[in-house]
Amino acid sequence: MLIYFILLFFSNFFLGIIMHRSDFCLAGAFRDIWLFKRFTYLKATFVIIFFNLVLFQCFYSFGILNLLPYPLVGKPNFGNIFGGVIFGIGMVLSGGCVIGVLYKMGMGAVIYFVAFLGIILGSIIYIIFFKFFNAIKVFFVYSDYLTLDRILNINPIFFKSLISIFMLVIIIKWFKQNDFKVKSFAFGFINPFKAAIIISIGSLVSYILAGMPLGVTTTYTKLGVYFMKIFVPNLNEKLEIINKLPLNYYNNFLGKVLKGGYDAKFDGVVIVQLPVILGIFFGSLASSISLKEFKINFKAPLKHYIFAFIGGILMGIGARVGSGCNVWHVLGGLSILANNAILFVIGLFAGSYIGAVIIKKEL
Amino acid sequence: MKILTFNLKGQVCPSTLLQTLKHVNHHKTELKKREMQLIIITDHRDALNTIPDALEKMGFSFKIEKVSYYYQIHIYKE
Repeated sequence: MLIYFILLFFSNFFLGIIMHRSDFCLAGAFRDIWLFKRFTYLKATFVIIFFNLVLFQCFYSFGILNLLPYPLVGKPNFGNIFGGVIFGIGMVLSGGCVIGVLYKMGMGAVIYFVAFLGIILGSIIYIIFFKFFNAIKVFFVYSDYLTLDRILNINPIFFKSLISIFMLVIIIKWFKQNDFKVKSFAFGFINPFKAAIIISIGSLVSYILAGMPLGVTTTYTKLGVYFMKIFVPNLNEKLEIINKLPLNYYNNFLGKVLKGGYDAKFDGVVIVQLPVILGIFFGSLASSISLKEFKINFKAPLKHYIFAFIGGILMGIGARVGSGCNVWHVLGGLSILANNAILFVIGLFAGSYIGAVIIKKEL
Repeated sequence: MKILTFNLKGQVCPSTLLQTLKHVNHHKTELKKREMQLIIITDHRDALNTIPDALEKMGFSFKIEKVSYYYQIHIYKE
């Protein structure tokens, strides 16, 4: 277990450095296409999805990954789109997604800590009003099949091969157009397209170790439950959702079954997600200190703090209703052609557009 | 020559770029007449990619220097 933690922590520590140095912001990737007609980071995200699509399938075919789809990939439902819209608005208002706020906190920007608190509050709101939000989720379930190849009844390897060839043609076209040349005057800047390849490898390492790609928001929810229990010690009796164990799978690397849920306990969810959270935060912190750019900075307009907090709340709710966050669906789900990820990302585009309209007017 | 300084440290993304564009557009006549320079102070790393790119498209020159933990972007017309 210790070796597992060390490997998962340090692989994400390295990712935190890369994300900080390349300013790789998934929120910005979606937001900037509406706000500035800037497609750089969306194209870099496309590159990650391409490499993940190929690597995940190859490593599964070689028997190194034992679960595809991985655990917690659910049936596509209305909640995926609805959650994606809410999350998209939230991440634009906050200026960062659930992982973006982590690496930006590592730079010392207090405003992103406020966004982080908002995410936890949003998760608490979801837990308290679970019945209402669950009704949204189950309002319409689009299919019993988890992946697009199953709906279309196509051999998954053949289908993924076709898609990956199509994606590769597009990537080569962008490369020839010099779209991958990104200039920045920030010290220690790493080209986002190089960062994309490294992030993809990081996703693969997480998948091999944890049995699933990067994900963090269930642990944020557990933090929320922890704080709730300070005020309501018998919360388990009042809210049934906390007692459920939606995570229940055999982890190949650890050689044991991992179970977990929203309760404030050390369980399978913590084992899978806590090293990711800590790794990315401390990696970014180390990177900003090494560049002499770390500074705890409180100074920002009050309006920005309000936006960050409200954005965080929306992300917390959106991630739960959508059955995952942007990182989970974009870097993980899309790479395995998960139907719920496709729906979430459609919602994300819509939500980021709404968020962009709001901040263009208000910021 | 008049120099205006805007401290945009610590703000939520992408406020640094939005505010810079707003200030450049507001003072563009004086900038083009070389009667004014703007200095943008930021700790936002992404802005060091987006702001220079935008300034080049708008026809302005810039000089960037790192000061302690933040950056200063000097905006002027050559």
